[in-house]
Amino acid sequence: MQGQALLLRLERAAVMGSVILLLAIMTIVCVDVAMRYLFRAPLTWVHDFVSMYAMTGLFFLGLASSYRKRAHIGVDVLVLRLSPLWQQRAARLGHLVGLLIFMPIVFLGAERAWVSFVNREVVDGLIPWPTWLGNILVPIGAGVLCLTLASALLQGGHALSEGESDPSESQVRDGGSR
Amino acid sequence: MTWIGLALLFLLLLTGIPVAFALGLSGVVGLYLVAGLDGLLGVLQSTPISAVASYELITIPMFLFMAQLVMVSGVGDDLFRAAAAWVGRFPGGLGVATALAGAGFGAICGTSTAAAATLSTTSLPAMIRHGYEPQLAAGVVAISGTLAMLIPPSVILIIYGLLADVNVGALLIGGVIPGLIVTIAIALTVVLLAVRHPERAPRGPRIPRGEKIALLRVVGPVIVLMMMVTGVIYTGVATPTEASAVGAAGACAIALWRRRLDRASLMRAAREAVHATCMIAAIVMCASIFGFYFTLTGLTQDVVTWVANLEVSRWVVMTLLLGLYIVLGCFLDQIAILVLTIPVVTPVVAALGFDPVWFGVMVVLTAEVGMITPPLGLNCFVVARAAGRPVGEVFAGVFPHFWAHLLVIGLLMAFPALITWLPSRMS
Repeated sequence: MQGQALLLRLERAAVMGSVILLLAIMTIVCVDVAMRYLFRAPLTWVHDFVSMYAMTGLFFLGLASSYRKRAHIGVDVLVLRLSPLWQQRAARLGHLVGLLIFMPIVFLGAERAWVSFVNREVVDGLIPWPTWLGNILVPIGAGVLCLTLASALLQGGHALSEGESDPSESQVRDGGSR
Repeated sequence: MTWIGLALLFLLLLTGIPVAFALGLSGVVGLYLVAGLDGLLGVLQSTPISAVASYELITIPMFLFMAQLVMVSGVGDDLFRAAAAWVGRFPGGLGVATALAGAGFGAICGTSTAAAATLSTTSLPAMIRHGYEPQLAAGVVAISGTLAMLIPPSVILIIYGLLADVNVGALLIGGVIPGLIVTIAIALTVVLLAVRHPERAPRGPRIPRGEKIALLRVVGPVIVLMMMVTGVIYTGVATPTEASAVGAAGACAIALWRRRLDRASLMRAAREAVHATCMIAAIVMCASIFGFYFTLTGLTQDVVTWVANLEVSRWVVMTLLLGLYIVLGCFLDQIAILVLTIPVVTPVVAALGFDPVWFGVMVVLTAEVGMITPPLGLNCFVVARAAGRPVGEVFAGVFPHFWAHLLVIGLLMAFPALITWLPSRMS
């Protein structure tokens, strides 16, 4: 149970990072637009910063929380007609498939971040942003997701019921009903 | 080799696992078979970051955040009240007001489920309270919610643009005239139903002129927000990417001005936007992995060659394609349909000489039909849940609009300029 609580805190911390990056993207891009059209002095660093760090972080840091909240769509037309036991098995298959994809991404992403750190790789541009700072977000976010998936897999299909989304929270997406 | 990855994809999709995971694993297996371990590891190392580290992709979180903030602001509720005050006395007036509110809400919010949920809480109870037949009322709410998919800012059009590599600004502007046509089609359908059976849709209450004018004050912020997004894209003042951030900030300002936004609701809105973004970006990333496999198999080129050699009119092919999209929409999620079909269909459409912007808008129109047809019909479920009505009643009520929608699709096929003219006038 202590491990579960720790994992939940880790997910919440990660998604808080995503939320901060979302608000930062909105603010920075608005300031850039204002600077460009009002003062003809655009912020030259916005494009690289937003795409390389902010967008990467927003996605990878929010992955685990989005999976726990079941925000990911699936084609559930057939599954909904199965018995609860088979629905649970299908959910466990989902956790396993997720692990199979994201485990290699964690290790390969970490390797890439390490190589870019050792080689002091930077972006070609006005500001030589270090690439490892963006690259490291991949293994961190994918790693938290893998922990969530492994925990769910070990505890069975109901493992994601903890930290369930508030029913009043709306799902605003043009997606399925997973 | 070609079919193993595809067969695995469809098998995994049937198990109901997330679409992103199904695409990812089938891409991984397919790549291993086609390109070997080294090729697979190379793709797995580079794709996760290259797929999401994109400046253009920020339109998705920004428009999703904007949608959440618009919901928080309560503008949608007031839009319906204003429209109802002005057109409520006409036959089917409250239904027409729902369509107008749906179009207005769609102009500042890019997701149809948000629009349907908002309209369900305001316009549906109001219509039923004034004696509307629940079936008719629920149907008009479900179909009006789909307008947000077509009228910019439309998240689904942006996803199409990203997947098909089509100019997002042109796509968004291309949705304006069809959006207005669909709004008129919904309104005409309601009026027709009300004229034939007045007891199903009684006239709304008489509203004093002073109150009518006072209710118009909500229109101001909506027009400002609309201009901050669609206006700046059309005039070329800002790119869709910049417009999305400005739109989110504008929605934030409106919610603050209306005193509906506090720290908790801001964080909840941001978290919801992050979760939905992760869902879409995960699909984009895994579709990218699958795309490498798909490209290496050469299947797309085979399909393009096969279709090009068919001895039938290109319009027959297009009609079959759109028919296929409508059928798929009955069973599959709209994003899943786009991810699964666009990589193959777009080259075919281009080879047949169709405009990709026109085709994108047509695909979204068929997606709208998918949102209201059983068994999936997500908007009908949203309305049924939000309003506490049986889902069968909503599906029955939306049926006349299904036929009206097919007529609109036929109209836009006959006159493609209705879609392509406005993008061609963009600055």
